[in-house]
Amino acid sequence: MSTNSDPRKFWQHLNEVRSAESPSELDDEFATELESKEHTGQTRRHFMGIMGASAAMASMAGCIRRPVENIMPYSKMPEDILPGVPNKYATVTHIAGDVMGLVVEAHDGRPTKIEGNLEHPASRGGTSGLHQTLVLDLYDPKRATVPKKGKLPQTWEATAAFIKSHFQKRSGRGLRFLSGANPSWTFQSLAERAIDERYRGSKWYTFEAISSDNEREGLKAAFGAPRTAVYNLSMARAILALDSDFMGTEARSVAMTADWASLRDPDKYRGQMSRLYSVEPIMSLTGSNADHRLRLKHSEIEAFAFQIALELRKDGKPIPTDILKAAPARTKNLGEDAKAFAAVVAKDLVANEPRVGQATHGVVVVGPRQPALVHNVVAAINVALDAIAGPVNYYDDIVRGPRKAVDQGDYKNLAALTKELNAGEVDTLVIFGSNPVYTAPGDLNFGDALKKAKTVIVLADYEDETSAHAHWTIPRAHFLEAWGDAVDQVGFGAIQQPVIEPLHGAWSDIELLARVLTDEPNVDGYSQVRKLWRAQLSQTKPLQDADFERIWRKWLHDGKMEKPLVASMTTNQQVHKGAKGLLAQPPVDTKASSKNLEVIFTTSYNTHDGRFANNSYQQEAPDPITKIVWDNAALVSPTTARALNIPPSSFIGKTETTKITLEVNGKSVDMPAWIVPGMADDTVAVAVGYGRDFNGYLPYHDNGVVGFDVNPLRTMAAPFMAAGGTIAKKGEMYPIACLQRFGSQTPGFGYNQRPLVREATLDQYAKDPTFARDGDIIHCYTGMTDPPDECKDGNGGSIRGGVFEKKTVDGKEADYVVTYPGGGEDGQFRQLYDGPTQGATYLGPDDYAKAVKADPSKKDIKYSPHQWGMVIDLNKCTGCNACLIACDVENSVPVVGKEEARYGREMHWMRMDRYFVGDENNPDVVHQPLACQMCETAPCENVCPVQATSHSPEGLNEMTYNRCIGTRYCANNCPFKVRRFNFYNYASSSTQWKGLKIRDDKIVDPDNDNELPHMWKNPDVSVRFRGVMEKCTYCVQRINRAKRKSKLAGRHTQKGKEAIRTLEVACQQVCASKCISFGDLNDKAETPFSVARSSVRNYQLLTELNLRPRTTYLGKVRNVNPALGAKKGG
Amino acid sequence: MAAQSKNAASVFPPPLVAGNHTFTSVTETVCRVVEEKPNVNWLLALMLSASIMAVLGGSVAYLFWEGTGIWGLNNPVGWGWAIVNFVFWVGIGHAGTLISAILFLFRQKWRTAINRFAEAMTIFAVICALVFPGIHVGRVWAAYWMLPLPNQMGMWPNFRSPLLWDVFAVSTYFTVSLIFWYVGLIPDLATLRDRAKGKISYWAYGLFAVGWRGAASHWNNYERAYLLFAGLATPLVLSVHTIVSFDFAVSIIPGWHTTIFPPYFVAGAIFSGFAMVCTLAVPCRKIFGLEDFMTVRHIENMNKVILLTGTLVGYAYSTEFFIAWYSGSVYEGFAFVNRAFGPFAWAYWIMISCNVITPQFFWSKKIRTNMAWTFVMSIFVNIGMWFERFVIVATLHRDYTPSAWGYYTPTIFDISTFIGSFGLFFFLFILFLKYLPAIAIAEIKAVMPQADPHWEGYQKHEESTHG
Repeated sequence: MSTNSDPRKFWQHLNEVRSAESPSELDDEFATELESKEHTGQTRRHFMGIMGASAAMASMAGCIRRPVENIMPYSKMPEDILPGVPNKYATVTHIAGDVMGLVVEAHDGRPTKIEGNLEHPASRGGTSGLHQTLVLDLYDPKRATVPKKGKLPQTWEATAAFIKSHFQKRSGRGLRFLSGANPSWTFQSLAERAIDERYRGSKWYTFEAISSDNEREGLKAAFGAPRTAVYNLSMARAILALDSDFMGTEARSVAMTADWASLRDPDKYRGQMSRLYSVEPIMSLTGSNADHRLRLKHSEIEAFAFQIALELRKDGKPIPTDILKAAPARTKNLGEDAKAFAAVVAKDLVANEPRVGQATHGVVVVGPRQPALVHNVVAAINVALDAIAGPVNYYDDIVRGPRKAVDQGDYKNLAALTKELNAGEVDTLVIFGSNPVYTAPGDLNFGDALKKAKTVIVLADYEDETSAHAHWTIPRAHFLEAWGDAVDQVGFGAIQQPVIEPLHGAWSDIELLARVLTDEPNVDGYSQVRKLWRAQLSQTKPLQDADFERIWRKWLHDGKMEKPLVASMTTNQQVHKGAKGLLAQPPVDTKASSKNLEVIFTTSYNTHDGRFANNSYQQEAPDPITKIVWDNAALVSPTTARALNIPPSSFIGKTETTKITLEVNGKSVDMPAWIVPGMADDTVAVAVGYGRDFNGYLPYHDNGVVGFDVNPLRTMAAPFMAAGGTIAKKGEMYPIACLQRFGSQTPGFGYNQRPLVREATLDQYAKDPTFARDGDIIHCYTGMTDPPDECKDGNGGSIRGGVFEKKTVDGKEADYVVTYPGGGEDGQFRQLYDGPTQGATYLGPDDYAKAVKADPSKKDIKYSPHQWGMVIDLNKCTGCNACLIACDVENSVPVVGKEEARYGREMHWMRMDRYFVGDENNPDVVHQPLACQMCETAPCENVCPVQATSHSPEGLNEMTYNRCIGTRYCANNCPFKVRRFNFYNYASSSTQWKGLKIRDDKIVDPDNDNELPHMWKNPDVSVRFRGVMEKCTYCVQRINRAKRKSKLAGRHTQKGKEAIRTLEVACQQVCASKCISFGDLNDKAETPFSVARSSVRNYQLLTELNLRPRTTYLGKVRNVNPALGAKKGG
Repeated sequence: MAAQSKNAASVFPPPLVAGNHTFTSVTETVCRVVEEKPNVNWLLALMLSASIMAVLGGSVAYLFWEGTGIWGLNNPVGWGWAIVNFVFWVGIGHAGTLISAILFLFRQKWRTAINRFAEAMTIFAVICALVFPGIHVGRVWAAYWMLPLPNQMGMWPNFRSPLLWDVFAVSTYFTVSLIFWYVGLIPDLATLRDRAKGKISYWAYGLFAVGWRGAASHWNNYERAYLLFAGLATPLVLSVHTIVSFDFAVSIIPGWHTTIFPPYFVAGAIFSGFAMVCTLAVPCRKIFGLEDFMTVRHIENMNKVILLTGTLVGYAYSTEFFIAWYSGSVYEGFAFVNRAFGPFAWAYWIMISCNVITPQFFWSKKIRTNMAWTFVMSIFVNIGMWFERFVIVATLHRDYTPSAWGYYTPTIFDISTFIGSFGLFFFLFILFLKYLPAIAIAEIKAVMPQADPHWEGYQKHEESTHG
């Protein structure tokens, strides 16, 4: 108390002077009775204080990491952070080994949006819909957050100590590892060290439920090593897809879609395009985009492949003799139609006239579900077509895991592991992120086998089916939380750069493996990854620290390495050696009938193999073909449905469909049936990845499970197709949510097809380039040649005041050309009144100066630097949904859940319309993304009583959320029905993960983690409360950002103009096929947008309403093979 | 007496008041209802309607708490029962002012027996109607932004929006109808004041009677004011439903965007309004013993109006179809075929049978003078007119882009709100019947035979109270 520094000591009380001698006397004098010390030395108050503090601390210890909420100005600005300006980081991730280079947008250190990396060969700026929602998984409150021993939470220290003690002294005996496909070289090299050095005798298995086993097996026979086909469709002028969904669920879908789309521009290639044939049992996304589609049963695809081989042989192409010899027997059951189709296709594949761009090859793509023999035969066909090192290249498989471990294939791996488990040979099993208890076929009973291992350690994303059997569950780091790397199938390496610290604390695969290898000095991912790549680079030449740092930084910046790490195969390494053992199996003939169905297990477009089942955006994104959300269904063709007495689903009121019992392989699942036009008969397709039980959590439904788990129906022997399925009607209806109830453009009652999606064949397009505009119901426009009768007024003039003139157009003598004086851009309509000429009111820099010069007195000319517009090329759009999901994420569009979706209250700003055309068995399919069309004469605007929706000078139809009172009149008056209303408070955090229970307030978040789901939201857009209308804004936040950038750089400078030209809206940016272009109508420079806008295929929807939408479409052109005639398919 | 009345009948057209009433007995008959102690039946009826009104209160409270999602609205169909009910109630609210104002201007003396009654119905119906635009919006706490109130937010309503016109049209109509009704009530309120025995009733009736003493100057002012209000109310009768119809007609939705809507809506409104008056009058005249004042002739006249307007409405339906076909607009054409044969065909055919076929029975004098028939028919017309609005609103389910098509199914809360609005209506109406003279005492005396200066009826008619 007293200080020695002060020589004069002041005192108040005599005892104080003597306090050094007897301190207790002073305390006693002032002590109250309550405070009097007891003999134990503890006071009651002290005890209470300690208890209170303990309780407070205990409750604090239970808290998770939350965003710090201090409001502090950046008096010292952190480096690289500007408030309100998001940072972007390049990184990489993979889904089941399918690598994708990404750029992650982070607001104040919080990742919110994922984009493709323009530099990365797998992305080229686009991503799939799945990648878009990965950021939601990061903030998923259901993630595994604490390490658990059994069910007991453990500290991270205890977990580390356990790993250390468990592995330190052990050998490889009885030690097994199981991982999914992992393209990380750091991980692979650590794994190899584990099995080859540290734990000799241990074994490594890999398992992916959606495996490419068949491909590897087939190509091993062909090329002597298990390989993977990598296609480059930008070199293919004719493509045959055999049961392949390369645009949808298969690996490298983004790159393949981009390549395919690059040859789908009839304008660029002077009336030429590539041609896509699809032969498949289901209606896949790829099939829906095919120029010709043939539906064949799964088991008939093999015969079709052999038939193609036979046809090629007729053409003198070299086909291995064993395949040729087997072909007649294997094709004898193929129908005549299919044979004829094959003949035409084969002819087209070999046709050697150069058709489009640089592409000169025909190529055959085959899907992973097809048996090994088909892959083998297709490889032979591709070799015969001389397609090797052109549109297809057969690479060594490098993306799956430790290279020595993966060769025997995923399903054989899992079978071997199960055998060992059952034999009690496995002492410790370490599982890296896989969930085989759910994904493995039912006949394996992997869950039971797992119980026989003494110690199961699972590094888990969720507390899932597998972790339920684990002795230790360790939370696994999200890719945005951990260092790593990934080398894609063609050898492009990239560093996985984390964007945020682990939210709950978590280990990456690399970190756990490094800990398991107990002799590792550094167990953090960063050191591990750097060490590996440093060693890789040092292999060729010695490397200085500074040099490595420079290279490392460049890698991080670019999101990829400069050169491929794996050389592509040369053609002489890809000589086909025949089918060898594969032909021993007799030809498949399942004798399918409606009583003996072929059951096909497809990959879910939304949950993949089930790993994204807890992602609400994925669950609410419609299946591209069925448009079902929050469910999977047994898909059957219309004919089969009739045979099985399954009525079409009711679309009146809330959607219901027939519930059936699907039985195959002695197991059965009750699930809803759904009729899909264009499917092969006697086939039923069911998607895996549904029916997951999140360990008692209720993520969506009252019963806690979304959809139906079909894995029990699968077998290890034939995991992707099972013959002998039966369907029995249950007699009850199942409530199902389908986002598009009416699937035809023909409205019914004898009315003609509505000209929403306009298409022509390539030949028709050549003859009638204006087909898209001719499609208008009232189609008399300026520049129209040979106007039809309905455009004539009967007095030698044109209706609505147009003038006919004899003219020569494009060197051709035309009868008449119509001109409309005083009309707008196309002059379709004249104004009844003198009003502001729509769209011309606000002129851009050039036009404004001209107009003012021409008539300085004119006062109603207004200036606006930009006029925004969008063009969607229906010829390139595949309907993959990536734009829809990207829009959801960019604009924090709320999820509504299945029940609300059944009402028709989904909130997607973009609707992905899918229409079937023609015969129900062989329909054509068209896809049309439809968001707010930004009508210049928007009907929604004038009806709003409070001016909550109004037009900006830049042509945006803007929504002022704060002013909206929710009369819904605007939505009623929208002819496209693209406005979305918040009937409930959908934006509240909990609904993102539990959409359904919003109707009653029983939502209790088990983790009390309500803040977390807010974190993914884009801070640049407003959160919309209930009762507010919302819709597409053309990503106005991005526009404004670009405008600021442009202004800072100087609007008239090249840099300022670049800022506007490089502006990409969310749907445009994500699109793999680049079918969406967005830009400024005032910008007279040639940009992809201006080229598209001036295309002769450019048309508006509902022209006759004079809406003058700013979003326009380019007509679809099908490259129909004349040999197959107008009728597509067989 | 009997000879006298027989005599009278031969000289004058059938009397508008039957039963050889004197001025005193008129006053007595009408006022007795007000002055008597409330009987059990009345109390039961009041309680029943109050409990139904509570359903409305509960539904609306839940609506405010949860949001418009509790209704069956969805994406293509952004308006549902709330708007249907609004138009339905506004339509019913037509008859009162039409009877009071237009028939007054046309010197249709038979109106006097039913005008008070019909006006009250108008006001209560418009109150019911006004509930819906207020509650159907997503953010009710901001609904007042529709009004042009100066505010610090610098907001101003959008005068191009038909919804805003609606706000003005309906509120103006309500205000004028209320004042018109009140002005007409003043002499009768004075009568009640003069007869009042209780202090409260004396004070209350006195307050609202605003010092009416029945002086000639009062009568002079009164008649002028009444005439002026009648003149003012008449165009409103036509304008209010014209403007309500603009909610639909100004849009671009096929099936909504039709120029026939204003006259067709007005005809429909009169049609439904008169039907509702019949629905109420037929039992009321029986229960309260007012058969002498609301005679069969009144009912028959109203049935004739129903027949006329019903036929007009039917004509409008056929014109819509003709124009949809004749215009050549495929969207319009489809919308109407879809109405008749699409998923909502059931509603369409209910509408047609109730609105077009039912009134045709009134060609028969036997039926239109039969109270039971009238009552049943009027109910059918009410149902039909509700469905007419439903058919129009539900047209939203299929418009331009087939991919967006849907369907509309009401939820329990749609239904409870609608039923509850009847509770509100009847609650007010039952209170009205008990506490205000259901028949315009002063006016009806003017159309009695006694009011005729040349009348030589009953031997002694010294009592000439304007009581």
